[in-house]
Amino acid sequence: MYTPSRRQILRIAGRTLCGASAAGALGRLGMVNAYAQGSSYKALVCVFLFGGNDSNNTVVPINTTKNSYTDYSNVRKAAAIAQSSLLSVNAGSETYGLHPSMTAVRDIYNAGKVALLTNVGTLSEPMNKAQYLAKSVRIPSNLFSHSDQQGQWQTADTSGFGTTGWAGRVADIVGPAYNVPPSGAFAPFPTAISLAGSNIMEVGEDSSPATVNSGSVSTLANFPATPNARTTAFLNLLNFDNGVKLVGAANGVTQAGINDASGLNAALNASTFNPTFPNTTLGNQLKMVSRIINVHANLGASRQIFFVSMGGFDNHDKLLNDQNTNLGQVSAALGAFAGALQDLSLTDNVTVFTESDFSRTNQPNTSVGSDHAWGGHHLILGGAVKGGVYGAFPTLALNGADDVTGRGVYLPTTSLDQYGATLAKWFGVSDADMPKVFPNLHKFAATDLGFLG
Amino acid sequence: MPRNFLKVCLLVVTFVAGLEAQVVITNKPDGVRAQHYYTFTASLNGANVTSGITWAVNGVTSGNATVGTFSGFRFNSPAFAPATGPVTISAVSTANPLLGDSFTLTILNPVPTLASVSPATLSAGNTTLTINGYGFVAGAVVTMNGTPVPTTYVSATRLAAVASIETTPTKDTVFAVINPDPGSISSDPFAVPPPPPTNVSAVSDSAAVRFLEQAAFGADYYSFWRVKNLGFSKWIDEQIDEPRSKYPDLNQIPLAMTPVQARFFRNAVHGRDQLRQRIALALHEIWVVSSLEENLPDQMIPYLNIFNDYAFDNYRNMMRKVTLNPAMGDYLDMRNSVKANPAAGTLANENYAREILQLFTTGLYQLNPDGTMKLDASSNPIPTYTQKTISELARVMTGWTYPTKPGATPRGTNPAYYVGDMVYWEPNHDEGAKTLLDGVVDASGKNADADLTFALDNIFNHPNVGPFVATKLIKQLVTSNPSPEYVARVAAAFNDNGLGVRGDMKAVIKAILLDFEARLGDSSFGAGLTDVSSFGALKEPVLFLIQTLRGLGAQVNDSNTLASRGSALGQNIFFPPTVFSYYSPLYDIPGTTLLGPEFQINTRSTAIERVNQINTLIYGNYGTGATVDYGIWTYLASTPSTFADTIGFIFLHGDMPSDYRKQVVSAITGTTGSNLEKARAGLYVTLTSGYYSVKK
Repeated sequence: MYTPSRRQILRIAGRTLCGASAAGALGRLGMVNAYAQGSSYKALVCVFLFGGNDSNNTVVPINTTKNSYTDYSNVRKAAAIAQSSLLSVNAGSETYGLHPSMTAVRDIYNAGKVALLTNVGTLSEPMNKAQYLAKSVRIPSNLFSHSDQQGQWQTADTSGFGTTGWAGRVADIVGPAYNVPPSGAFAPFPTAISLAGSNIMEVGEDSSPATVNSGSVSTLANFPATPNARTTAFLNLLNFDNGVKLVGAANGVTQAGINDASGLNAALNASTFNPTFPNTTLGNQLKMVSRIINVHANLGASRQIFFVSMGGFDNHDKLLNDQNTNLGQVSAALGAFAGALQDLSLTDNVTVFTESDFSRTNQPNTSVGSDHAWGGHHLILGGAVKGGVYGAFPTLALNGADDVTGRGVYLPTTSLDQYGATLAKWFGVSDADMPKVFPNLHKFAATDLGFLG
Repeated sequence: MPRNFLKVCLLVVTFVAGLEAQVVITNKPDGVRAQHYYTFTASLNGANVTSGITWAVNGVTSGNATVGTFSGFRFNSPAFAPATGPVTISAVSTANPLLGDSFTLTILNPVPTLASVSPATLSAGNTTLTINGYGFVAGAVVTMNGTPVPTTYVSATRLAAVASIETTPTKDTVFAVINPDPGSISSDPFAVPPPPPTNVSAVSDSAAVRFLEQAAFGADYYSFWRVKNLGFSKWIDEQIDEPRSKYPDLNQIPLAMTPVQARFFRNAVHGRDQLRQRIALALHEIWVVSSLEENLPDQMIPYLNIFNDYAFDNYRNMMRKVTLNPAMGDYLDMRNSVKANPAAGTLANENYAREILQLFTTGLYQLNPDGTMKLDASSNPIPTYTQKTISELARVMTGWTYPTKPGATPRGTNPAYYVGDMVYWEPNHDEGAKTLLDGVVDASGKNADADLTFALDNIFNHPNVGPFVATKLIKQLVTSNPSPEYVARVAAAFNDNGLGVRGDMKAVIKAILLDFEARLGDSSFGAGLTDVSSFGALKEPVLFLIQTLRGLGAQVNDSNTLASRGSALGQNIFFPPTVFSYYSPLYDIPGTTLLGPEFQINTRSTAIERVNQINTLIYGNYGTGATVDYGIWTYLASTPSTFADTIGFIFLHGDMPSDYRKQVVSAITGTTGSNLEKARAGLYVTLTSGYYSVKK
């Protein structure tokens, strides 16, 4: 009654690919060549801010074409940050203020290596406020719901029913062209790596991410190199299948974990690179990312996509206090990460970008917090970044041209698809392949926002 | 001498410096129980202080292990009442040692805990019993069915007692241990079940074990025989009447969640109220408050108690109870949510209004009675509510604040206090009309309580709630991918318990556990199901650990650190990452068309930890708080086929296919060395397998 699960078929396929006579070897020759020619390393690092970061207080207009500081403080009221506290940065003739806790990000911005992408969000197609209110266009499902908007930011599917993530689809396309099995392994190390547990963003049609703890790599304990009766039976039982699919799925996860861990652990143990990071959730995750980046060649990887995350941004109350702590941690961790990349001389090879469920109502609630909104501002950092402010900042006035509910809920002027496609293009996704990653991209005029060199 | 000297000093100081210059211990209990914490309070010159006081016991600064120790203002009482009698607690100003206060405190003997009685079954005659547990004091007496029996003190963890039994019992024999004065106190009762009767219900052995994987935290000896004796339905009835296991008293534990987590595991492993605890866990995972934010026992214990108390009550009653719970008020911001203030440019907080609909009651999309989504003419799902509904419901939820602390004056926004339900302050409530679910209008002019009742009725009566609750609980108890027909049958029981009552949890639970889809696998797995291959559910980490410990016959006490083991597997009990719980009920297993909620936290790294935690349990240990005696397993390993059968019965409800069994036997026979080593190998390969991790 043995029937190989889908996962097992994939495993078997992975092994077959290693044989030079296999049908897939033609494609593989290309990969080996790409790798052997030393095509330069690239990594994308997604920093997901779970809960919906209030970006109204992350990037504040001070003196800009559309808004003055007063336009901001008139709406924000008790949740406004004093102008004197903001970290002012220039973009052409305009002045913006970064959140006071983000000194490290401000310094990188001033070095020209941060892009601020303003008012980006989930969109099914371009629309204006009148079309939104008239529902004459397709509106992303379940706006304002955490789980749905997290999912849409990760899948780039505004129906809410996407089953793969955009980074996973990028990995499906780019991974096989650039990454080869590490020595002694049957299959390449996963292109996508999560330091923050399961996420749909890195799940592709053909691939799923390695999950790595930020502290150390989990390996099997009490598992001698020379097999014994117990370890042999254990490994045999990972292939046991009497038709219950969930059993096959559980065994598949364990098997994949064993495969990943052996390669990664060996690679990390061979290096002494141990950079200094703040001891925070995000700091520890980014530290492990930098350690993995350092051993990318040992893993046979020329392209890697990392997913790190931090929670605590659902600030329905105590916004000023909680966000100050949170963004301070984000900034410090990003600063340390930039330093580690500098040590590795890989600054130009790695691009970090933020995502979040949504931004929050610019008008506060009675608890001096803010509620769920839509378009928000995001950060892109790295040596390849062309610093500056991108996108179209919304008009902040309540009930203004961009506010769709009257509480300062801004209709995005740039779509997630445009944001992601700009990153994916830099990473190596061709124009021809781009519709597989962002099927919705063709609805928007600009497919490259220009913030990456 | 020191005490008298201190009194003289105090008199002198009082006389010299006037009444205001003094240290006073402001709480002076007559007694504090051994092995407990007690936080003292003190004032300096009439003002409460939290530092600047040096505490001493019997004149010893910070005390010692015999008389108790101080950490700051917290007194950690000794393990037993000191032989020297009551102790003197003194508080002296660190800055001015002439200022001080003292009093005499009696250390009461500890609460004894009775963990096991050996032999495990009783028959007629005089029997010497070994009573195992902890906190026993010389002079402790064992009672049997309320009557003291001759007792010999052996150690703090063991007593010997002589029971004279006239006839072989036909019902539980209840034991307890009573520690002597000071503070004589009894343990919780410990019931030894009667020997199994010869004629039992039609439930087969393997079906009873399988049933308990769904309705309990797995089978142990006692629960197995109760199911065998009573049959499924009567067992549920008995469980509904079973007294509930308790969380610790707030004044007996330090200000940390660790002892609450430890008690959860102890209760789950040993408690008789298995079904109640299992439902309570499921409800906590739906109506989430997380200790990531509410991290104190006085916040979390009243919240957790709701689910144990209302597990068999009506869903509507539970909805109100949780809504007005102050910890939930904290977590989702309904406490101190004030109506809109036009002058300040603020609106009502939307947090609780959104999540009660999305996560606790209706979900995002309109549902058919079988839990599938309703579709509009263009085949698109139909939202249950709009952003406008959320804003309106947020207005309903205004005006509530923390319970008023005894002695305090009620205010519009009371300070944090977690005893009792939240109360309302009408001036902060928005009394305007609101439009709720399905366009129902909540008329203006009602107070906060009347408005809340109206809105909760509106939500509770929405047709989604039956299929929504049915789906969530089926996934928790039985299978991740139930058929729509199964959901429909359970939803129907929610909608009407047969007596015209909506929301009766007893009816819902019976409908879930007694449904033929849940019970099909009892005899011939899968017969009649359209897709047998999709049945079952991955055991979430805490269930995995608890079932393993129950199956192995582990002894778990309050010092267990099992929470950290669950945490290593991705589930830190009572600390879910967000209001979206430990994992999403809608999680797809990547690369399949199946839902596998628990798979979300079974990542490639936590899957390896799962194997390693079994390794630690079998080849190492879980510390003194959770111990396993491998004697019986070692004995069984001398006959590998018997060993495999036993393991298969206990951990796989007798469903061990021959291919699988072959591997288990080869692990045992191929392992060299003692029978203990063979037993370990057999247990390791079984408990680490995906076939055990998934209940089916």
